[in-house]
Amino acid sequence: MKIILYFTMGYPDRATLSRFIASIPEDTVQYIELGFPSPDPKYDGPEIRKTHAAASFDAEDLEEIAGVARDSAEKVYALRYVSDFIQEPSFTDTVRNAGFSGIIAPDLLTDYFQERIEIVTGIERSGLEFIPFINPSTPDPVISEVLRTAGSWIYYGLLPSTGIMVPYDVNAITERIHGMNSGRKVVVGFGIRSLEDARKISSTGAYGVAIGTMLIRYLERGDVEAFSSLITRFSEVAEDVQ
Amino acid sequence: MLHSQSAEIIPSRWYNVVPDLPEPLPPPRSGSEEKSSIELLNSIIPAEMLRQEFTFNRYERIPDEIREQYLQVGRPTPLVRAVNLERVLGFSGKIFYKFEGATVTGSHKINTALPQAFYAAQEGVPEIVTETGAGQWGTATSMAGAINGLRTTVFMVKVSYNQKPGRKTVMGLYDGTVIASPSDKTDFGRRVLREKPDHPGSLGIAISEAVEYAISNGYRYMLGSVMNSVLTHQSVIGQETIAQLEMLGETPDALIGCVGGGSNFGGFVFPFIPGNRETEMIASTALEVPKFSKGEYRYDFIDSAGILPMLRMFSLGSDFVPGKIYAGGLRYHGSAPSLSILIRNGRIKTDEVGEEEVITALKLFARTQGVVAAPESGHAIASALRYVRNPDNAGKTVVINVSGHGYLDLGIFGEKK
Repeated sequence: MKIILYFTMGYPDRATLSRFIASIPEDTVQYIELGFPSPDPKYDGPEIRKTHAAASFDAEDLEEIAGVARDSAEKVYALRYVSDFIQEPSFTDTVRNAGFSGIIAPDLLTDYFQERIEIVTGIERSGLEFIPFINPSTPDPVISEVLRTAGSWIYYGLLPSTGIMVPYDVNAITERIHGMNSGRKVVVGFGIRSLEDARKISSTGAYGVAIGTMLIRYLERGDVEAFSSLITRFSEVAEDVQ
Repeated sequence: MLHSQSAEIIPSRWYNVVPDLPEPLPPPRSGSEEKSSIELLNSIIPAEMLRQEFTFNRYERIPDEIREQYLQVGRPTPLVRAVNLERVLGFSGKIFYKFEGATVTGSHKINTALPQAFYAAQEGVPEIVTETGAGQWGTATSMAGAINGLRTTVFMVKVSYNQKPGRKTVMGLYDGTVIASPSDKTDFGRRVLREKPDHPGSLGIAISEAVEYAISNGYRYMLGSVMNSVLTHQSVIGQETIAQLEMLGETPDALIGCVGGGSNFGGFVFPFIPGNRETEMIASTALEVPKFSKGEYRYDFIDSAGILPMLRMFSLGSDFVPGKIYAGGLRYHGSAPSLSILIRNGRIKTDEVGEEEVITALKLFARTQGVVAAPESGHAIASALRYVRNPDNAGKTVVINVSGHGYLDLGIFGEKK
């Protein structure tokens, strides 16, 4: 199983974030998702929302943070709400030029369902992968459709919003993931709060787990060593599974 | 066969429409920046309800205990062919009605009150709390609390509290404690009363008070409508109807029900949706609460105080206070998100009917079928009358969901009516 990390760009600041990303032990993290700060992070939980509000971020930050991330993971993806980039035609070129491999848009299927084909086509035309975000509320026919247009992997959110803990049924998730039978890798996130959670998810046959909310406390404290050690422990869980 | 009643008709599973929707159900959103109101649900509703709220499973097994309780309260409810109504109307097709008024509490509300009280009892809490508009939900919750060994507190919209003393009596018989809302029992209620001492109340205010009361006492809050898990429980209505129509060898052309928050309607029509594009589905609501024609499709709060999460739905605004309308159960400002999606995408049509037409329809239904239907259900009947009187619908088979009886709402007919 692989590890995928999420950071909000520019949180808590460029230098601290770069230091954290650079401290990721070699060969432990598969992908890094970098979230573009949003004035309305609508589907994020309270902790990630705070990072959006506090992030300081400009074009220079983008270049530096994306560069460090590329050196620390196999691929780097941009996570941004469609509502923030739909009026910004240059966005796809910007992220491609910064070395991102693709885009994850958490509100595409819920808020831009009618426009989805046009938006995905735009992403793909720019030479970027489209990574669909699906969750328990995504209907089966919609999942079948997005799987046909997906890039190399899909993001499966366990919960309706990050950082909130509603009960979920690992067996049912396993069945659903296997049922997708799409040939795409499935990364599970939104609600991974501990090594134990990661271990449980690994039993679903997921390709990887995405971790975001639980990293915030380390970023807040600037505790790089504890962060790096946490990633090592996650990668040990991941190796156990393999 | 006009009437079918057999325990085998009670389904063994609830049906959840979410995996079969044409587009994703927008997730609930927290209205607060500081604290997740979605996470708050963890501490106020039973964990099993929360799991069912966010599940992608198409079917959820109904616990044996709940099936037993369904049987005790009068399920399966009858599906009756309204032959007298057909004859009086000179209709060349068939009219059936599913009569949820035949449950012991007189409406469909018991279908979800029982599982919610059962799950709360399993968690060991001593008391359940809820709100009620017309009184049907409070009645069902009180009864479900009583048979699951729980105390029940019901915040009842003040205008209904004053107009419907019979409802209070019934809730009291089930050992429920009924409080007129806005009340002095909660911070929110006290705030509303300070601003307007003679406030008639609204369902949104009553929800806010019930939630606050549940949180401050560590009790469990019962959800009456709108939420997906509630519509899932109500699917017993539609599943029974499917089984009963099959026994009669009938295929419906149209399904017609009334919409307050959407739970009786969703429970009635959603089980017909998989693989079916032909059957017309018509959601009837009050002209006085025009959520589908005048409401906006947007995120809005479930309750007036904004304690609970926001849902994306057709809404007239969470601060909407309707006039003293005759159908209290249709006063609610919003409609279930799953139903809203299906209305937006055209799968479900809507109709709005006003008081005079509803009362005329209720009288005709009483005189032909002997059933005194609830004023809310009167909208379904009135929309069905419009449907069958349309010459294009000659010869069709129509099923109406009569969501409750109206014996505690006789005031709407007035002394001389």
